[in-house]
Amino acid sequence: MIKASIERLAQSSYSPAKLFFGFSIWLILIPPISAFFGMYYYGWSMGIADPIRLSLTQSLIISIFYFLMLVVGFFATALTIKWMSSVYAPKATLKDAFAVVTVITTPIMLAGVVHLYPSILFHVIALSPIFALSGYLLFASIPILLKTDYDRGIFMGCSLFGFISTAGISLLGISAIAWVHGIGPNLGV
Amino acid sequence: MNKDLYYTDSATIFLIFCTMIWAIVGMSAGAYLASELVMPWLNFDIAEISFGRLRPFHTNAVIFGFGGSALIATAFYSVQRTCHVRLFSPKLAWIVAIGWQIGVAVGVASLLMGYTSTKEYAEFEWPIDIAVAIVWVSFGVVFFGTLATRKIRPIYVSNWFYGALIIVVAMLHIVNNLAIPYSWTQAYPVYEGAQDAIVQWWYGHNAVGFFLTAGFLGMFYYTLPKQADKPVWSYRLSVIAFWAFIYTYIWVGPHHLHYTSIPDWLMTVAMVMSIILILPSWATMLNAVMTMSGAWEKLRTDPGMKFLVVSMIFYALATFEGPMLAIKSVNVISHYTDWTVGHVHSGALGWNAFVTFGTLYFLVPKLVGASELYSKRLVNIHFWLALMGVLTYIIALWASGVAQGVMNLSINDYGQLNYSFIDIVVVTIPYHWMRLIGGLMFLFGALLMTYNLYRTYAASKHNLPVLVKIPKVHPGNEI
Repeated sequence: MIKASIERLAQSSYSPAKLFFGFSIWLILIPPISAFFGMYYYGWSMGIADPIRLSLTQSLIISIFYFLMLVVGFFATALTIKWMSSVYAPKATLKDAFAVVTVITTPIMLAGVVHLYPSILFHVIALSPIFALSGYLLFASIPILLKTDYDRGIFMGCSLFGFISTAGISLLGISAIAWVHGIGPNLGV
Repeated sequence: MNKDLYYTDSATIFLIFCTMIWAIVGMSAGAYLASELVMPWLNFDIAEISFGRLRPFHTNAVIFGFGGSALIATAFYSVQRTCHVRLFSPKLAWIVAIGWQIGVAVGVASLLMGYTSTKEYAEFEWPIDIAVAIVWVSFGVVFFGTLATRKIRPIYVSNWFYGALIIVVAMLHIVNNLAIPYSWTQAYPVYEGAQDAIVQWWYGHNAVGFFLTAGFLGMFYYTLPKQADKPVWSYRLSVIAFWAFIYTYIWVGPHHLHYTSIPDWLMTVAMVMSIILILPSWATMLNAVMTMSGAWEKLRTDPGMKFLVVSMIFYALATFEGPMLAIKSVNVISHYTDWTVGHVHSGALGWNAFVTFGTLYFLVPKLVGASELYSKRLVNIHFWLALMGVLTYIIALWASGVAQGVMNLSINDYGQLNYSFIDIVVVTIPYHWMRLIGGLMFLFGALLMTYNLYRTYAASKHNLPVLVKIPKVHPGNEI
């Protein structure tokens, strides 16, 4: 069923702009909006004692940065796919790259509602299967959307997995830098 | 029969056998340690298996037992093939192979008995340090002796990496362990205070750099082109990356000592050099990815190839995450938390262990004269167990590390800490259960590999010794 849906997407006509502004951007709004409400009204729960509460300004700044990072991440991933396609999928276009990013990020963005309850443990439990699903979609969508054969698709999927993992780690590092410089919880540094 | 016309691989076979034994011993100890973190009663009040003693046992067994045996084995195997000559001294090679096992076995046993210099990854006491140094220098004699007697003019890039491993690790080991003995089991280090810390982490991080990176890159640069059946994509890039790696890595150790009593400029130099290190690391990764390109069908046909592909992903990830954690603003949160432990294991399991597994699946059938492995299905099960295991492990420790980092530093409006130490311990428990599950999956995969490789050996041992004739050097490349 999933592969059939991806094939339907591959056959449909759309432009990268239409795909992004008509679909992806709305999904990308889900995690930061959920994060804002979770942070401001509930606080970061560590699983013990009172949650760490953030002010309205802090919550807004973090949510806006989060949104911008997701948008940048979306475009960076699409452009990376296009760049990688010269080796792995010569027939792929920028439009196809946008389609791949849309497919793999859709479950993650939808699952962004978990930010309404900002508990780290809850996030790990709730998001792990979602990341697994996105991983599957990554490998399933590349051969279909980028019009390449299965073996090349696996190689490209691995390379892209490396890129996305690195981007995820970067997000963690950027967050840590922001917290230390006053954007985030009150830390004694 | 003129033996000089054939490669000699008996020491390599022995070392690969030891590699598998150490994998199981070292990883089992790791899994037991992970169990103790969530079930502390598992130490049964026995000092020898308490966390403080079992932890250095685990690290030394996996780094020097598993990693060291694999590195020496593959160095002996590949240096002959890339030099078109038999090992310089097969007898000395055997002494190295056996001496290394005795040195590491006695060393880790002494750690369980409570004898330790307390320097991380350099815990062995001075008599064992001297024995290890002698064996290591002998390894250098065999390796460089083989290089010196080579029949082919160019020195292949894998040998540059193995050579760096041997020279730099000898230097690190000897300098860091300089001490004045006052009994058979104890010695005073010649350094003190902040100097001792700087020298220790100059050793500590370069042990990661040259033992766990340069050595394994040597293994990788030999195995990958062989498995892909293609030359290295850019030989020039591999050599540039090698020298950039050598010049940069040696500076980065003090990033382990951010915000301590060492000079601030030294921390900054270490941080900057750590960030620069991304360039040679990723150049190597790019070279590897491009070398694999074109060998598309190998993922289906070659059981070890998928391990090499994934090892490169984790290499890229770990060599990006490491410099990021060396940034002072990140380090202030990540240091002294599980984030660092997760980072180390993404490198040690995802990169070092995966590249070793891929290499063993490639080498063992060749060494025992088997047409293929006993079971490709078991390789696939091993692959997925190992991949899921390492992902579970590092995701758990990322989450745990971030929670610990924030809780360590979180203060209220009066500047008082929001959380006590025991609060942080309690919060960490679920993640440590996840880590245990991930570790057990990885260990079970290693057990499957050992069984698979043993059955491959058992089914083909009548072929031993497998005689491989040394091919003639291509005209124009003779020395």
